Amino acid sequence: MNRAQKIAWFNLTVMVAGVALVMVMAAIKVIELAIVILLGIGGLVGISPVLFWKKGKINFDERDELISERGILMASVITCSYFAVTCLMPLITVGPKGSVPVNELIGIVIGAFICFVTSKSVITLLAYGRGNKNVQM
Amino acid sequence: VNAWQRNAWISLLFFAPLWLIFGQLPILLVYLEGPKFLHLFSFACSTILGGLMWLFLFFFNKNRKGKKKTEFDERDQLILIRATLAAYVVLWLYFIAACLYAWLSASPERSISVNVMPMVVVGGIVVFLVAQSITTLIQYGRGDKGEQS
Repeated sequence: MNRAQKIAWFNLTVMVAGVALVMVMAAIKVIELAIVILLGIGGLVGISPVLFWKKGKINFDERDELISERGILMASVITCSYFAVTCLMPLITVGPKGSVPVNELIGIVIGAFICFVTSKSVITLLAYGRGNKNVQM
Repeated sequence: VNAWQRNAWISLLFFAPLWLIFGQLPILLVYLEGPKFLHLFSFACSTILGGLMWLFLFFFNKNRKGKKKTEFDERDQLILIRATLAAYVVLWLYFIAACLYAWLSASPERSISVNVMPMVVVGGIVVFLVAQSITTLIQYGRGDKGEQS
């Protein structure tokens, strides 16, 4: 397993565990703790490249760059589709004269971040495949 | 000026303003006059046409240049990928900025009209087109370095 795969697995685990925790906290109405967990998810995802950094080693070649670029592109497409659907949904459900709480917008942005990181991790793992083809530990 | 630079100029000067007008207008009309078939139909048409813009550019270039020339090499591919990536970054920042602006400037009852959200999406498409076109043009530069027009 190379560095990019480790980062993808780490991000995916953090996302799944974090979102599950947030949902539990929201269900038992502990919103403050849910917000802290969300900030923690953002922080952990942000420092994941540093966590798996190995000094003095070449840990990113052209193939990794290509996979990363394609992963970001595809994740962006998925995230933008998510954004478009979540923005158009209230118009259909509430009607053109209705209104939505502004906090929903922040929820959409957080959802988009979760969607981006999760889809990028999944795409990266799928692109590398199961086996360790010419990958050194 | 090669085909991709020409596409970028066409997107920047024609498609982005057209999409801005014909995408936002039906949303405004739905808000003012209520949902009517004509408004929703025009919004659907502009969305479908907007999604198929690349087809117009494809046929435009094909008819103009003929079929035998190679018009897309590795450099063009790299430029296109980087322009698209940069456009997505700009789009992402625009979405965050739009949501935060609405959140910060909302009225005391803390709610916004649902019409704002489709406007944000349509605006996002325009921002994407403009950012992608400008990034493409910047990457190709001013001169015709090895380009055959």
